[in-house]
Amino acid sequence: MTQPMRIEPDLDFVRDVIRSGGETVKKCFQCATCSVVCPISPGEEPFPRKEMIQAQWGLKDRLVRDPDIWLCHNCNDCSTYCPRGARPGDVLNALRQKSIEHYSVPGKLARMVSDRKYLPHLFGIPALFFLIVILFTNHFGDASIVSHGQEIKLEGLIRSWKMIPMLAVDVIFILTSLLVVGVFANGVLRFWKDMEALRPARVGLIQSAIDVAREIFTHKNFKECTTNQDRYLGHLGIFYGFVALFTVTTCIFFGIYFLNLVVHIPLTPWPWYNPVKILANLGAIALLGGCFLVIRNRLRGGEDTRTSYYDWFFLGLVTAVGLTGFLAEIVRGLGIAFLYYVLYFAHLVCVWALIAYLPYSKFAHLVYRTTALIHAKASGRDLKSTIPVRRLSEGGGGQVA
Amino acid sequence: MEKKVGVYICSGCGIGEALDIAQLAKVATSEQKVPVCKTHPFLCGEEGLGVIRNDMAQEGVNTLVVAACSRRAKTDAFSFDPTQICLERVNLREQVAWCQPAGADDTQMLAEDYLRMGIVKAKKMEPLVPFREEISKKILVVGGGVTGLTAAREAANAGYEVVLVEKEAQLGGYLAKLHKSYPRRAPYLELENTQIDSLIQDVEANSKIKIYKGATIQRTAGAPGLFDVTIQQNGSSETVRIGAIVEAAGFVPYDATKLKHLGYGECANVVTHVEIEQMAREGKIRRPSDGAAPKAVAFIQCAGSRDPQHLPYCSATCCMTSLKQAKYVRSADPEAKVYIFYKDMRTPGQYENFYKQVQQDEGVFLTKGEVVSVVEDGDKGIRIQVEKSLLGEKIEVKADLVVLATGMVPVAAIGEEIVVKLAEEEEGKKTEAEKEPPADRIIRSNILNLAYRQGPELPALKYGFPDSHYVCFPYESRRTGIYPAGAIRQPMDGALAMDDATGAALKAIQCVEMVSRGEAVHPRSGDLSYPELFLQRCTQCKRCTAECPFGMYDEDEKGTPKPNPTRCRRCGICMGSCPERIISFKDFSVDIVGSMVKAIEVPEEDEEKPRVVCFICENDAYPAVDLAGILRLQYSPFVRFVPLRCLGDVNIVWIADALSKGIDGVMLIGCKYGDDYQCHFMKGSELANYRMGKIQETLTRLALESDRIRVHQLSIDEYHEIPKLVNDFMAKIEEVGPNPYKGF
Repeated sequence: MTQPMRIEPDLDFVRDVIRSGGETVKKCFQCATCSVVCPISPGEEPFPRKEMIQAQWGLKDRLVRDPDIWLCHNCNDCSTYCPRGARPGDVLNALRQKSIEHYSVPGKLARMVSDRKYLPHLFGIPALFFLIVILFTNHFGDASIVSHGQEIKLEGLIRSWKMIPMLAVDVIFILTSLLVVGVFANGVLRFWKDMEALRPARVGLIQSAIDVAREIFTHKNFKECTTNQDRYLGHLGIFYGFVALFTVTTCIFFGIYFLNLVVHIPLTPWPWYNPVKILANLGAIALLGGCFLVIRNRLRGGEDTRTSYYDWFFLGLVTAVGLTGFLAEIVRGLGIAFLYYVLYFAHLVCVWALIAYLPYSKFAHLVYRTTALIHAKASGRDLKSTIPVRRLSEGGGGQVA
Repeated sequence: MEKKVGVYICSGCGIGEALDIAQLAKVATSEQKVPVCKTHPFLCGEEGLGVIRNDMAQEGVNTLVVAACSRRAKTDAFSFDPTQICLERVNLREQVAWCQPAGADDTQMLAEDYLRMGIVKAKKMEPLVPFREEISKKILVVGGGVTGLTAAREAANAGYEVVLVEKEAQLGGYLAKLHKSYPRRAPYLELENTQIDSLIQDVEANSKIKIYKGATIQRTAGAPGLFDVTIQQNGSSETVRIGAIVEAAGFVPYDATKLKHLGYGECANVVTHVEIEQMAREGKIRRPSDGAAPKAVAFIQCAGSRDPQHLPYCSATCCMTSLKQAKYVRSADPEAKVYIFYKDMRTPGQYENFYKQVQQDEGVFLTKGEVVSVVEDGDKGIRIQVEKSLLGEKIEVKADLVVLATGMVPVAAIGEEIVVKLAEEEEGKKTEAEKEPPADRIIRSNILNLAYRQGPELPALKYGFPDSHYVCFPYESRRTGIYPAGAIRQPMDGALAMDDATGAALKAIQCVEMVSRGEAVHPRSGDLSYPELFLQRCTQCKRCTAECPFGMYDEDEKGTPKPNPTRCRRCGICMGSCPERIISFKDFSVDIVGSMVKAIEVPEEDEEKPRVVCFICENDAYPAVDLAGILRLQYSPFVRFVPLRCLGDVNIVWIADALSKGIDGVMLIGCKYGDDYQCHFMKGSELANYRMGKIQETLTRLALESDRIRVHQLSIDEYHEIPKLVNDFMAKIEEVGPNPYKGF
């Protein structure tokens, strides 16, 4: 005779989920339409049905460790088909937020990121910090500076490093990134351990990682979504935008600090025909295009999904990063100095915020979802619905085939 | 009265095209010697009817045979005062012209036989004389809960005198014990007051309603319009003359002491719905063990319901009640947790809105599941284990207080089950083939204490409810003039009970009005005929008194039947049961039907035209045959349908009449009987089946094959099977061969 599972619902957790965008969670009456309709839910112990009842019952410990909430790609097919309007897609989104609060320490910071009253603090304090650094390190008053043994005249030049030296920026960002990596290391290790307790990984990790990488780079899971093709395109743009920009940043970093030791690499900005520059601009266009699609999608939203402050924070921040960067480049090209420095300042603060709050905002999915996907593959939890479903779009009225 | 018969043959609706009308008319005039016989192409029109009326006025025709469409069609056109005029409708349309090939010999023979049968019947019918006696139109309402109070109020407001008898010292029933009611009107979100107090006030203030509190009914004798009800109150009795009775005695909650497996009686903090409602009414929900306010309350639904070991049925209101009580707990303490463990959540209709609202409450935790163990913990808390829950595994929950949602038991189901003696069986051993005549289930529940030969209460149907079983006629119990309403007939809440009470009050009013005119109430509404007994030849066999489904007959000490015509539903089952054939109606008797059967022309054996008589009941079988005709379904022309009020009218002598006449087979088609019976007279077709079972022996003695008799159950929607039924039987008759008594 199996031992029963002792349950003590956490009423505060239920309230928390409701506050975080899962306000419709109690409407669910467990018909399981969502699990059947989900294109990427496995046939065994599918999601999101069980997460809905567990959320209703305030089973916090189970849910924050549940890898299935990360297997979900928020396509919202479930919310579209839910007969009660319980919006399981949104509930899982809220649950992911709770999971992030649990794994990324300190959880307080995660809660601040999702609470709009801290918005001024989250941006104000770093802005102030950067202003102080700028105050002490700017070259606005100087006629020239010496860089790499060369003297550069500053008159008429519009350069970011006139406001704040690249070294200062790089040191701040590297230190911040190291902290972020530390937080993630802690979170991922704890998450992995919790997942192992549920379902041990048996297959090779390297192979699983490669498979997951392939899925991510092809955006395969996004293509499964039927009610929302724009999500595929939107996220693809943002993803590759980031890949491109990250590649570019890395190239510049290595070029200026290391390659420069061997062969002279001029300071940025580089000419427009430079391949790295071209990649950067393409990346920016992809990023902004993706943001546009995602924003449009969310604004069109409809009955089946609501966008919370938590969602807008991340999306807004990414768009701000893209916009400030791109506009700064254009404005510099047009020679409007003052506007350039304002935009660059904003860009700096935004990029810093993006990185600093990576583990605490929705951006954390970058690490946690990937981890969950790798573990799923390694533990044999295949992301494929074993029950074929004919969908509304195929004229089947959503009935099981 | 000197009878003058007029035969009127309509040739419209295809009848004229299918038959040789002139030849047909000769059957009436030359063969049957009818004085007046006319034909018309459109008999139901003004001109056609004018011919009939003219003959009645000028020629003194007072007995009409209308050979045209089915008796179920054009009833207002062919409508004559049955106390003056005898009318017989012969069906030449649905049962001849429409289901047989036009112009064929067999079709003509069929029509001629029907005309013969109709004329023979018309000659023997007599005009009706309504049963008239000084009747009371006072309505008795038994039970002073929400149902009884509403019925009393409605009947009084319609202008009738009402007597209300309530056994408790105060009115209001269970509704008066509630703290609040769950919502009964749009948008079905808020709890509301029961408003039972204003209902009680209305009734107490109404001058037409006489209320007896703390009173019970000692005895109910008599019949609709003529009930003598003896009310006992404070040791003294009073007898009142009553017209009709609304039985609204209500329910009791299921006995929770039987639910030990759910902790009742074993654990201090396990209570029932009724008990927590009482606590809410007093303003504080507390644990019985220590008087503390509970922080976690668990509701166990279907406690002793939908369970073959306890109540097998659902009581309809417990899910809503638990949701309501969950709200009591949550509004008293927003940090308290409420668990609801259910088999299903049944919140029908608009109540779904209330369910959705309670679902939204973050502190209410709902799951489907089977409660497998309820055990007391150290601190008198309760540990509940639930299997097959929505959480995917066996779970255990700790609660401070457990509420069992128990079901409703009608008071009619509580009491000693008694056996009413049936008819005396004949001497000799019973063969295996013989069945028992169907008997009712009577429980001595002490509600009405009827002085009826067939038992002191309404027969208990499924689960002990004195229900009618008809969806369309919910109040029609098996005793005429007595209408159960409210939770006694079906588990229901206050809102539905008020509707139900109104319906039953209306039925009671209908009953007294129709009885005052000598009319049958239901289902043969308006029928003025009633059974008359030639008691000189009665042998006191008690078949009629036992087999009447409505307990119409009482008996004296010798066993001689005493009819109570206002109890009668005019079905004729008693007529069929009497072996001495002493029971008859003025327009329907054993002799009449026997003569109809004997009027059929039976061709010689070598003509190879078999003849089969098929008795069909007017409720499901006759309309099904009509429908087959309307759809132009064709079948064998050798069957002669004989309409009866009920298959229970079949008297065994008719079988003898048919077989001795040379008729090759007899089929009986009637409504379905059994648990989900459709028989409009409850037991008629079942009795027919039982009686046919008894004559197997007789048939064998006469060297006749038992295959020649067949009883078939049919429901009205199976009309498409009529051709198959008929043709199958004809095939069997062909196989068995012609009746050896043909031509004798």
